[in-house]
Amino acid sequence: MVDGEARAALAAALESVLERMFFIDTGSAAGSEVPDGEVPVRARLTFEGDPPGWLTLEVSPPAARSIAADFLAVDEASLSAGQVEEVVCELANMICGAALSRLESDSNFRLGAPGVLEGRPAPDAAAIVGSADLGNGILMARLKFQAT
Amino acid sequence: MRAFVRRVIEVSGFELSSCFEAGHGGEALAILRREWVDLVLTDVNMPGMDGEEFLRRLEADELLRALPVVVVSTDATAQRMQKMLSLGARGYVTKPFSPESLRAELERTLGVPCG
Amino acid sequence: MSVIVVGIADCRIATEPGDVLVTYGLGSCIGLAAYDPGATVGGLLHFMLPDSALLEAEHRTGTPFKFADTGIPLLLERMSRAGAQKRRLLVRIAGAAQMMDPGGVFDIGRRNHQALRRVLWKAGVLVHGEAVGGAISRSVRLEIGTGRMWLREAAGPELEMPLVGVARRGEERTNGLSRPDRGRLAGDAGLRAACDRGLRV
Repeated sequence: MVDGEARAALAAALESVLERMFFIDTGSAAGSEVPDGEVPVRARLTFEGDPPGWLTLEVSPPAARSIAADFLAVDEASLSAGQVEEVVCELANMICGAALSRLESDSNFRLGAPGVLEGRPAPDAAAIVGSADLGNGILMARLKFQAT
Repeated sequence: MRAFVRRVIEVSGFELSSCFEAGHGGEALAILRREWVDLVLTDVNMPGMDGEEFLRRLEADELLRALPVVVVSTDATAQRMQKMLSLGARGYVTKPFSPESLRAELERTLGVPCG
Repeated sequence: MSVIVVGIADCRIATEPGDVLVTYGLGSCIGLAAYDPGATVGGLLHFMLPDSALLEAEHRTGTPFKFADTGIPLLLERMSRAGAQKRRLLVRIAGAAQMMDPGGVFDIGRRNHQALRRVLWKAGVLVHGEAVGGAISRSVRLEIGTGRMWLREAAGPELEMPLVGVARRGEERTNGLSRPDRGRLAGDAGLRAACDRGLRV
């Protein structure tokens, strides 16, 4: 799989998911890393496919709260930490599925259940990175295909 | 996601009298064998019994096979879509979807006159 | 016939069958028309920008219709006061074009569209028709007596904007349990019971 193709698929997946279900206009603003001082909300899922791999998602806390509130159509003040984590997990699920659907159209892939990731993920230079500046925070997705 | 889908159903103008939720196909079958429903929405990737097996079990059941099922899944491949429709699903919506597109698929599946 | 012109950053409600709400020059702005066929109440909002937080607080007052996040809730509130019910509202939008910004640097039209979708979703209202995008100016008019909406794009002819995804106009929504094979499951008595109870999912 060509890296450029995977990067484009991930970027397109980010844009379509954020726009259609979270009503966020990502435009062409590619974001940067989540700032060091912040502890982002993190989710991770693995997938089986040809090839298999994993995706992690990190979202700045203020952005995670506002997108969760928009998704669930509730006030931010009424959100629990659990609800925010659930929405970030669902976001990871959708981004991964949308990216893989663009890349693995000829084979079956199966997504595992996303879960909250505690602690910073180990850096992996081979991971494909996609990010978005949400205005009040950064969203960063890392997609890694394992060699088979 | 269930909360999002439920809200789409409600704001689309359907009067939602009951909504049952299940974490996987096995749990859903248990509910369907004791409760009347008008529509089933299911994902494909689920722990335990997945969406494909769930549809096979529905199709094998004389009473349950007539239930309208709409698949809501991140899998946008033509392969998966064809598979689920061939197993008896009446509709298929890929995530991400706009609320309006889910509404349209629900209306098409339930046969609501439009326009 | 009474023609009520809705200007830029403006909103009007009408309840007389002879009223017509009209707005012109929708470029990156959005015209949002809402209509309740049961109450014969219509509203038209013409807003310019997505987010009132863009303005300093002291400049925000007096201009709620300029923004999606303040204008749309106020439109819905005014329609409610005039007798409209949210669950019956039919909403159509036009505008969100990319004007004089070929590089898409500011993307105001697209941002307006997303802001509208977000605000309507939180308000529990879906859209039943839209004519958005491109690089053309639009005008719309909403007939209160019929609920019909007309769209003109650039210098083209005026065409009716249909409603998408709604039961026949003027009718209350039904659950549409009319598929013949439903009867095999529970018989006629069961089908009627399901309709009376409302949708079970």
